[in-house]
Formats: sequence, structure tokens, C-alpha cells
Amino acid sequence: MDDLNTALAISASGMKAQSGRIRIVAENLANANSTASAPGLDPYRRQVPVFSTYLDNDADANMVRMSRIELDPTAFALKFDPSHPAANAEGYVQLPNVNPLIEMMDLREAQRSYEANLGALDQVRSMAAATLRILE
Amino acid sequence: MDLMKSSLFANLAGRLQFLAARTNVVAENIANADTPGYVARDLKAPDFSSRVSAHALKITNPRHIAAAPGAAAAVRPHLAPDGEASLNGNKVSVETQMMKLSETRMDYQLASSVYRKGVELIRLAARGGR
Repeated sequence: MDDLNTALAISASGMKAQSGRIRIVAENLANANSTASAPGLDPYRRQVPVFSTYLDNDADANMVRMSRIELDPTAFALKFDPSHPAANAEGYVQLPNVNPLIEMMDLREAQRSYEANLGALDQVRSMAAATLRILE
Repeated sequence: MDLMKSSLFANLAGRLQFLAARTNVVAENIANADTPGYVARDLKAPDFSSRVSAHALKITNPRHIAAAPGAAAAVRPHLAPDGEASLNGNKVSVETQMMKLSETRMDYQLASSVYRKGVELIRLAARGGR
């Protein structure tokens, strides 16, 4: 039963990491149009979550966590809009480097991985139930 | 009669332990399915057939120490990459892992059902066949 409890904790760490990733995607999508407020300032820069494995000493298992959040170094797109408060001398505004299509794909992938962890959790639960039925 | 030391229960308990440990490894793989550079791992089943035939060391002298039955040697997980690596160097295929997981679950349910049947047999004997 100890191994099964550890397996539950591992699946939970996977679900936590994936939901953190979904949160980052939501931030990116929400800020897809967040331009700078003044010329010379940068608009919103896309965030990228990075996952890493770590050894949980209590459970002696390889859990997963979102170790850091990197910034996407891709260049900003330019839009001609001289009336915008953040427009430069030539009349161009820098737009955030967020591509909604990529974000939606990332969201879908995170959702699938979350469901895979949930499926694993369900299977482990049914195994624990089988063990408890020995007592009947 | 020490029931827990009988070969049926000891072997089944060892089998259940192994399957639970394998579930653990597969759950690790699924949790790390998006971790860059992570390679899937797996556990190799200990050889159960040899345990059935040559079950335990024979005790020919009362001063011999009995080898603990069901003391499965600690199996360490080995690397078992699923096909080619993705762009970030991850070698886990969630589909393969889910298949392994349901396979392990079915084996686990089989072993625990046999265990239950064993318990029921003892109960039947204790009730005197009634």
C-alpha cells in the first residue's frame, strides 16, 4: 500500500505541474494585447514554463515540478499606429510576442497530460480498492 | 501453521509488492511526460518460476537460519525509452505508459483475487466445511 500511496503523490505532482502550465498559458492569452504604456518600453513578453524532475526524499520517487518560468526571446511584431501612446517616432507600436494559436495548442497538450495523470490516479485507486477487498 | 509464511501467501504478497512498485515507476513516467531530457524507466519482473520450483533453502540442521520467504530482492528500475525522443529530449510515450499501467492493474487485481480465494479457503476450513 505504501508504493500505491507514493504513486498517488507522484500523479498529484504531475497534475500540479500541468495546472501551473495552464495558468501560464492563461496569463499569456490574457496579455496577448498588452502593449507598453509609453514609447521605448517593452510590451508584454510571453512566458514559457520549464519542467524538471526532482527526487522527493520522503517518498523516494521522481516527482515533477515547474522549476522556473523563462521569457520568450522572440522579437516583437510591429504595427503602424501613430495615434497609440506607445508609438515610436516612426509611428510603429511593438506588440506582445504571444501567438494565440501556439498558446491554444500548448493548452490542449497540458490538458491531455493532466488527463493522463488523472487516469493513472484512477487506476492506482482501483488497485488500492482491490487490496482492501481482501479484508472482506 | 503460520499462514503468512506459506508459499502461496508469501509469493502472492511478493507479486503484489512488485506490481505496486511498477505502478510507482509508471506513474513517475506519466508525471514526467513533458519534462525535457527525461527517459522512461521500467521494472523487470523477478523470476517467479524459479521461486516456485526451488522455493527456499532446505533446513537440514535445526541451527540453520531460515531464509525469509517472499523477501524479494530489491529490484531497481532500468531505463526503458519509448521510441524516439521528442525535440526536448523526452523519451516518454504517454500511450505506452497508460497501456503498461492498465496491464499492471489487471495483474494486480488477478493476484489480489487469488489471495482472497486463499483466505476464503482457510475460512471454509475453519468453519469445518459449513
